[in-house]
Amino acid sequence: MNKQLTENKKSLITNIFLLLGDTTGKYLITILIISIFLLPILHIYIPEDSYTISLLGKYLCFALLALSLDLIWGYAGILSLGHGAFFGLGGYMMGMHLMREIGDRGVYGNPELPDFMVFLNWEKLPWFWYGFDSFLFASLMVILVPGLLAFIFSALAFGSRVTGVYFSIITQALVFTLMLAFFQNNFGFGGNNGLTDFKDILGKDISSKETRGALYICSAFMLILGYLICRIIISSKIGNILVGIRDRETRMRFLGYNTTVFKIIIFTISAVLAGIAGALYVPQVGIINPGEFSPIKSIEIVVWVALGGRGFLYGAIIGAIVVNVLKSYLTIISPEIWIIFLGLIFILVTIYLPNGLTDLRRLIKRYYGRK
Amino acid sequence: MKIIIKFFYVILVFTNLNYLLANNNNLRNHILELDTKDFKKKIVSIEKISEIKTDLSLLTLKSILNGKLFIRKSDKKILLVEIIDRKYNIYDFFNEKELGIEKKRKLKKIKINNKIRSILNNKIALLQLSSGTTRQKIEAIFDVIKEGNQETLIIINELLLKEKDKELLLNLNLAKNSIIAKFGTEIEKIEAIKNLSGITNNNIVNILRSIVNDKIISENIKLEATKSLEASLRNIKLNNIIKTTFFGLSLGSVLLLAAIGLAITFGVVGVINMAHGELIMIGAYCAYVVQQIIPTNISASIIVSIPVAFIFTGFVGILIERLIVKNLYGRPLETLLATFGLSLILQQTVRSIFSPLNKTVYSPEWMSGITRIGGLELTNNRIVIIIFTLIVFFIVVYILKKTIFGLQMRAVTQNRKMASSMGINTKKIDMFTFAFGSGLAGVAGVALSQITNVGPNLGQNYIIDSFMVVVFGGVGNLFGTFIGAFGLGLGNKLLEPYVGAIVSKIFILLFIIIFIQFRPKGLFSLKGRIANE
Repeated sequence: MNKQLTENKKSLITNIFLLLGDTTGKYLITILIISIFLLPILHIYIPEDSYTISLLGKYLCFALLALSLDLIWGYAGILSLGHGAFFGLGGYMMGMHLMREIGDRGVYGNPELPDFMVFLNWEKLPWFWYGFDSFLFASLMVILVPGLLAFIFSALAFGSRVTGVYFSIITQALVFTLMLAFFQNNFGFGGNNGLTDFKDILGKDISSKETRGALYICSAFMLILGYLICRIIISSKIGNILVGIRDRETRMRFLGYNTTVFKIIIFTISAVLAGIAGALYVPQVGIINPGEFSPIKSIEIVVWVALGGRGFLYGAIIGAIVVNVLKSYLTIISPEIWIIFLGLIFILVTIYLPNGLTDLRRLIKRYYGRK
Repeated sequence: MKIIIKFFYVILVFTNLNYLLANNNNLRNHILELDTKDFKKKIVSIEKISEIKTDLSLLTLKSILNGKLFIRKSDKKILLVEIIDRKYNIYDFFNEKELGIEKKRKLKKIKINNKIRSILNNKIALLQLSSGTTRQKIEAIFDVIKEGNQETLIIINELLLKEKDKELLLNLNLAKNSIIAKFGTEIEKIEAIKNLSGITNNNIVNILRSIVNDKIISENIKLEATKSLEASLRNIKLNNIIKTTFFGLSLGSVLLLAAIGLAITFGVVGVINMAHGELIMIGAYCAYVVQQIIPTNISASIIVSIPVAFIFTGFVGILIERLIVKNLYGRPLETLLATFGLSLILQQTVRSIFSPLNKTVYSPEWMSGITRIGGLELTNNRIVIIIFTLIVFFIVVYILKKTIFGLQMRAVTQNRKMASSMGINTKKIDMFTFAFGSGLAGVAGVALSQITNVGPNLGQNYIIDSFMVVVFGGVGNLFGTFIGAFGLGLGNKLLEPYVGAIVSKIFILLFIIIFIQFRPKGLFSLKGRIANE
């Protein structure tokens, strides 16, 4: 018994050592930590600019989202075309809390009901809005709701051995269904316009410089934490089993592993991470609407991971940031160019760079090596 | 001789013109008489106007009813007014020439009250009864049913003697009975009500209902009316069921058309083509372009565009296969992503070439309009598309079952390696299958151009639905696709009256998500060893 315990301890230590072997990851974390100390200070001392830090914070949320997708796609071979569902749900949970914080400062000044409910002539708060006055409760829901949905959904799907392309398609159906539902006005989440016009978060003005800086720090911190969690999972025995499932699931099953359980666990963890990313995203952009559930947004997440290279973790982070920075610049130049560009990334990366940008690095190395 | 004929002709035209002018003058005077505050005088003038019985007098009555007829205070000119953004755009009443914008206070509107409104309705209906096409006449009859009285009964009786068209006679009889049911003697009423039994027209049902609810009317009549009303309501219910089924079949046929190409490529090549929706869209644009080339003959343009779309999208399909899919065989998830990227590019390209605005593809005459069966109104374009879909489906089944190409395709679907060892060039089959499936998407696009607007996003609206059909029906099985499409179409439309369009779609999606859990390979799946690959 005692021996086993020490062995477990040992494996945890080796895990941390494994992380030390992960050079790119180390660099990434170092950059993030530096940015935590540097950026908010810079942000406060550069008076004209109050927008950049939220933009950067947004990228970090996307990076966390991409990370969550890489965990299942890169390591367990489960391609979810509906990860926006969990991201959006996490966002909505946080949005609901922020709506409650508005209190009677809405356009209609109703202390009991959010503006859109007054507008729709609702008498009282629907039951599923209860409790969202408390930040703690909302935070719990941010984890519980996407996690529970992912657990039930994956338990059903993996339990009946829905795999591969079929699974991808029903995840897309899931996110599409959510989009249709949230667009409904009588569904109770603000319909078309979603939730917006937030005032405060934890009693602090949501658009003040300090809050924005704090939100950035939270996002960076969560990203580091998420990265470490993912790294520990995949360097453990579970990670090896997942890779086995990715490469030949039938064989793993014949070896005696209950692959379904592992897939359900990893899918749920991934959904929770996506939900947290959504919850951090909403206060920084100031709105959440059903557009987050549109199938194309979910597929865009896949392209971030594909470009960064799947199955490396840091690849997802780099991919998400690179694609989104490009998106910010290219959509300003011309939205049409951005769409063509996005399409080209999809095609070229899948055909020529199956491991994304990491392949590029190898190609360059080989090129210089030949010289 | 010729000169004499010409001379007579000129006289004829002249007298005719004179007659018309006299009429117009009359009409003008009567309209000016309407410019009074005495509503009784107005009624007299309206009756005089309706006696003129020309198209213009009908227009006069209609524009008074719609509040568009104005008189300019300065020169007593009669004007038609279109109010756009609170601006009064005026037109000459007699020659419809545009006269610019006039200030409100310089114009005088011909005002009416409720009594005049009902008189106007009646007069308009009567005028329409005696002129216009059969369709217009029938519309007029329905108006008469709503507001008929003894006076109209006389006219209807006259028309009943003159009219020969069977459909018109039937409707005239309905109108006659509906009026008698209100104004006749007791025996006449009972007879009329019996004749109205089972009629689904809304106005007649209202008349029957008012008779049933009438407190002073005799019990006999009431009893008869109740019976007739029940029969009518029963028929309405039946009609609704048929209508829902029809809409379901129509939606199902659209789904089948959209999904059939996808089912083939997915079944045979084993890859999901996310750009399938965009191939449908390209097919629809083929119909648009062909129509631009031969704008004079719409019928021909639609028929020509079917093979054009098939060949063009089929060719695009070959390009997709050669340039993208071929590089990714054995990696279905990557294929899905690459073709998705392609769909973005195709959409954007079409948006750049044709503008993001929707284009209209005109329907030929035999596709527009309505077919009436009993009290049912079914739109022709949907009927045509249901038939067209069935034809396409049977052609596809024929190709798969009876041709060498089909045989090879099925062999590759069932066991690629074995087929290859038997000497089938699987690469070639893959390519042609892809082209075939893409061509079918193009054909679907032509059909869809007849029921929706053609725009760059056309394909997106159908792609998720067609996936659902394929997955629900089972991959590699056309019969499954058939059942899946019509099952989902009917299910969707049957739910719609109860929960609304969007919620019924949500239910269907949830149903499929849950269904897949129990039958992961769809309704009809391939059995045997390959099923586990």
